[in-house]
Amino acid sequence: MSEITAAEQVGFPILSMLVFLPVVTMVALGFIRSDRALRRVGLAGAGAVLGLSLLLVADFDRGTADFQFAEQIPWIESMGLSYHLAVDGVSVLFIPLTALLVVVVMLSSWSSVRHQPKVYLMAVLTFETAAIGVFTAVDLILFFVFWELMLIPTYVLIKVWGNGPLRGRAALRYVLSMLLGSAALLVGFVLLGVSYRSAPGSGGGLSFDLPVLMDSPVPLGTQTAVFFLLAFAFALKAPLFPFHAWLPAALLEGPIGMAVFLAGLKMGVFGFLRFVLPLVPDAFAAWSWLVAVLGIVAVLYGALIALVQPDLRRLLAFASVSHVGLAMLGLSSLNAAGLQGSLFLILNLGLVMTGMLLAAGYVYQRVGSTDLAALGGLAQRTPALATFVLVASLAAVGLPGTSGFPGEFLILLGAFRAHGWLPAVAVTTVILAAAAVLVFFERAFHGPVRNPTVLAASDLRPREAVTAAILGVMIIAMGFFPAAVLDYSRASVDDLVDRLDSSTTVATED
Amino acid sequence: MTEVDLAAVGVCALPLCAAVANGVNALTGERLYGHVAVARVGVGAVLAAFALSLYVAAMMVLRPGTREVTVYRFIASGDFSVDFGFLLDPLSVVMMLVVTGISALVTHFSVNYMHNELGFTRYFTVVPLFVFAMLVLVMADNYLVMFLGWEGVGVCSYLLIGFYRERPASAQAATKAFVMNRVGDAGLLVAMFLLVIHTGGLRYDEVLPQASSLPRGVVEAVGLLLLLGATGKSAQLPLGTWLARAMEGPTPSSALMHAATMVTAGVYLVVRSSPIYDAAPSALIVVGVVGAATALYGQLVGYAQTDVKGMLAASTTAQLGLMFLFCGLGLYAVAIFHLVAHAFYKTYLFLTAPSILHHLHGGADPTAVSRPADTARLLGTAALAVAAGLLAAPLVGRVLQPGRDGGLTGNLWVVLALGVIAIFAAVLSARRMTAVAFAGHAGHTGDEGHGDAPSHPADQASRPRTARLVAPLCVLAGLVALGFATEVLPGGLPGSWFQRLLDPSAVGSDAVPLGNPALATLFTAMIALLLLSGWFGPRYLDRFRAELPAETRPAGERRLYWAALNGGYLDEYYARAILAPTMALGRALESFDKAVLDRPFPPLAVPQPAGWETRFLAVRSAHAAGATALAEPPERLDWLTGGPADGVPVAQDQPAGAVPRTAAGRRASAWSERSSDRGGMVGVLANSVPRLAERIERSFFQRGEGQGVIAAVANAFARLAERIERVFFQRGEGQGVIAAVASAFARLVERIERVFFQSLDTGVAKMTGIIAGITDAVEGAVFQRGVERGVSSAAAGAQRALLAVERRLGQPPVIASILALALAALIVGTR
Repeated sequence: MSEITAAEQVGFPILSMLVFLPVVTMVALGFIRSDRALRRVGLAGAGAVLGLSLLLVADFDRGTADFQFAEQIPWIESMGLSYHLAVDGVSVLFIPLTALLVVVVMLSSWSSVRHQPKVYLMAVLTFETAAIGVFTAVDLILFFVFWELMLIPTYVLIKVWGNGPLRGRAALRYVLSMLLGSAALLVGFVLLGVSYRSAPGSGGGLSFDLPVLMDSPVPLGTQTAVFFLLAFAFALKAPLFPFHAWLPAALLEGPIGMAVFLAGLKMGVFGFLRFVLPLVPDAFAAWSWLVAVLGIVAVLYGALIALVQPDLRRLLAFASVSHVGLAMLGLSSLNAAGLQGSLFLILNLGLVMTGMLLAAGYVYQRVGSTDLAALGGLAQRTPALATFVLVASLAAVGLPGTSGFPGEFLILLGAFRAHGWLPAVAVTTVILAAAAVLVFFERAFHGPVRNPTVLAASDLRPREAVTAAILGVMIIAMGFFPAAVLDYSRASVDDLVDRLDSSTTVATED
Repeated sequence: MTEVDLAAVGVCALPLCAAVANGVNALTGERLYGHVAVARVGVGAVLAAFALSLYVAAMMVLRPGTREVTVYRFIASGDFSVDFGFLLDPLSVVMMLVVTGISALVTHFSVNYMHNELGFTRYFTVVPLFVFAMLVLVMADNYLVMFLGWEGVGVCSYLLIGFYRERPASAQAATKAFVMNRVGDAGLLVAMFLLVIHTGGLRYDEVLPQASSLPRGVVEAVGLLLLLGATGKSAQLPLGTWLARAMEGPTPSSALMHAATMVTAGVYLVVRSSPIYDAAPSALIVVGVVGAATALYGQLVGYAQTDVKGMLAASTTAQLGLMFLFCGLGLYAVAIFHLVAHAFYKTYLFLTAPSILHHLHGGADPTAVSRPADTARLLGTAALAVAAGLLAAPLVGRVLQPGRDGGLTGNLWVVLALGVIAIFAAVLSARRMTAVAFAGHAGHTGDEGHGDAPSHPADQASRPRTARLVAPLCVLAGLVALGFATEVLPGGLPGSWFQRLLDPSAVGSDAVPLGNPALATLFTAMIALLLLSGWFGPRYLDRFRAELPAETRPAGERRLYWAALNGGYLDEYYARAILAPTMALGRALESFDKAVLDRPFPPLAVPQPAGWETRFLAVRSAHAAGATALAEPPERLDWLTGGPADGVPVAQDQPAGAVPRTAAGRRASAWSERSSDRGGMVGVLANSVPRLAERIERSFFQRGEGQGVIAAVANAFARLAERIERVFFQRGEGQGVIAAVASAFARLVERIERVFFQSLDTGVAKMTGIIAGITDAVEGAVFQRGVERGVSSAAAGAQRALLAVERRLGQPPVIASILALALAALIVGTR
């Protein structure tokens, strides 16, 4: 796997800047006292990252499957570790997405987070560094470092700024689950690095470099072991049924700002696309039926439970489980449509889940609850909020013309190609998801006002309206112009599919 | 792009622009421009779209042929690629004319009808959006973009049915319509997947020519799945029950969507896919059967309805059923003709309905109304005449021009019979409508929430001027008359001008698939049934009206009437047979989720000490040196929750196994509180280390007290080991090495049992406890040190340090500098 260096493309280490700009902003925040200035500097930093990420996207070469904007500095050479950042079509769009979410979170928490805003902003910026690091690191151990770094701000955010009475326990759940996965992840990575010793051309040394490992075959036995370790870790993170128990708790108890990252950035699915598929293709192909079955079960399981949730945030958690199941079904199809569909779906979820959770936050601020018992008739008081929720809901349902559809369509198309009639079961999600989301919308926003606090609710304030407009416009734009988004991942995914095909044939010849 | 192409794009784009402009205006609180401008933008865009459609149609007539317009690449992945493109052929042009023409009239009509409504701008956002979506539906050159429009009209329908936000009934009806449509959409999606897999694309000109060469099973499946989609959108059985309640929306929008245009999308889909149905005769038969059954159902339900809009909805269902029946017979052109005719006819009826109701309701205020009966009677008569005239047309044409029937002689009677039914249905429903209206609420027994008038009380206060209401009606009547004039030619029958116009798209319409005698018999029976129901239905049903005394007829005979009144109880059936089990399944899965998948975590409910824990503590206190130790003030628990760190080491200098036991017990019970709040991750991680110390005590010195099978076995093993030890080594019980090992084993097993078989709410905590116990056992056994010394005390020190760090977390410069230092160390370390 060749790569194009950042020096050739933009002339400066853009990825390192993206990763460390939030940290620099965070340090700067430490010296500021005024709340107002804090928020402005934080937003400026996040905005700069967003601008830089858009530059990255603009300079990205869509025609090649190579890693781009690469930077590599040796780290611990005896162990084959290096500080190695690069992006390809799979990862490039997650960077502006992350940057956008951070900006949106900062805007939406402008006036709602009053407790220790400095630490809040610092935690969010730390998370941004870790998340961009996760999306750009192509050294396995470096990835792991960023992966673990994410835990700290996440834990602190849930624990300190959560709005549920049991936020401490939710935070603990999250950390325990993630640590369990991390242990498996580290073992898997080390196994891969060690097995590289015996690969031709390795010279007996270790390597944790993704582009290097992609080109060196791994014995099937090792592949299977690594597959299960990595799959466990990423399934916990995603979260895929039946490892999702931490998510409803974290969404219900945690602050909206954190929930956006937990439900919006599907790093588990990304981990599958980034590491599992390219590194252990034969094991993945051999066990893709398991992934498909788990995916289909998750799709129905999440949708059915979402159907009976009276609380919007729990509903979203289970809708999220359902969406992840769909994404995994796409991955299991191992063809271009399925993989690109999964990628599109999780990018879309970044916008849709963020939109829905922000809306949940707005509702919570106004009414003090996201439970149906306290809602009803909101649309009469807050028409703009209702419109925003409806747009996001329709995208969550997968309606054509919103960003929810292309991913869902391609995933199911890929799945029908790969698995015959089995995915027909998953198509029922089209009905169940619509019922779950729209029944909630009907009861919360339509009908007579039952709760006096609803009568006092005001519509979106300017800053909230800006975030809603950004997300709403992007949701519709991605729905009408999906090809523009799909083109970014096209070369990389085609290359990945070629690798999967060729390695499968090699494996069968063996 | 040529001018015609641009015009076609403009037809689509103009309503979209109007929708966006009005939508932005609505969202900004109507600060950009006022209601007059809103109406002008909406009506103007739709009128312009109609004008452009006329231009496109004229060009189509001048230069016959099929045009394709590609706007942009819509979606592409792997070898699958679909463009956002339009197909301009006679079928789509006819549909464009119908859609834009009816929409222009209805939007114009709506300006007055809606002028007092709160959501005026919202209405004039959704209606142009609907026009856009409907145009995408009929103009698309592939199934995917068609589906985009298909769902778009579904959303607009959802928005308009739920237009009156404060009414729960309308919101429910909207959700119901959308979800039932989604059932059909799921079928449509699967049909598309099958088409992509077997033909490689979704463009009509790629897919349809290949239809005859596809495997029979595939093409039949595709046909049935497309039909499923069509039944959802066109309110056919078994998905049709949403239409009756869709009348909750404003009447003009009901006219536009739920009578004239949107609900005909299913018919359009079937006609567009006619090559598929030609290759799938079984699916085509199902189309016919579904259509016939729905027509019958719609008629029966319609006779029993007591409000005008309910009657109109049922009549629409029936007419759509007839269109499907035509399709099922292979008479695609007739179906399209009926679609066009029905669009005008039903719009007319819908738009006159509120006029009549206006007069009737205005009658309560004698000063406001002048001669209501005359105008209403005029409108009613016009409605009747138009209905009769339009639907008699095929028959008239048949009689006037008997020589032009082409290849249809064998089935002439079929068409004749259908014509008769159509007339019955139309005339009867129109008669019923006017009868209800003139009888002075004769049928308005229980429909106050369902009829038209209550939906906009404000409208009655200031009724629009009659002249402006009647004007578009007159235009409509003129159009209808025009249709009537042209209908001297048989509508859509082989050889007619309409058939010739549609020729390139409505392929194979001469072939009426009635070769199979059984099938012919089936259709004959169905048609006979329709005829009979058309004739006897109203007569029979009228005798069992709810208002009549119950004893006039036996209860058994009234059942038919009640069934018809309630739409055949289909909704009740769905609620009981599908909805309730689905919800029950959802709840069952949720309790599974809570009971099983949540189990290994600290509980999210308020902590309740589990039964075993209470027992455990009781045993513990009995064994402890003093039971009073438990009653110590609990402030020492603070250290567990990240509070004062000085409480960390409990009795460090005491030998393990004596007093600390009680402390361990308390700590165990305090686990849930500890994790609840304020501890911070650092605190929790640090806490886990001293907990090792507690675990060893329990593991070593606690007698087994489990009740489970595994625990019993393990305990037996432990006792055995102790006995051996006593016998061989002469040591006291529970003091020797073997006893320790065995007891640890027993504990371990018991713990496993608890984790898996009992309601252990702190599973993970216990698991770490087990590991802790083992580590401490090693320490105790190998190094012979007191538990609280050694590793444990080191951990306690570390914990204190970490807690101090965490307490300072509130002071960001400290974190910042720590992180900066760590970063610096990392960077230095790498060099």
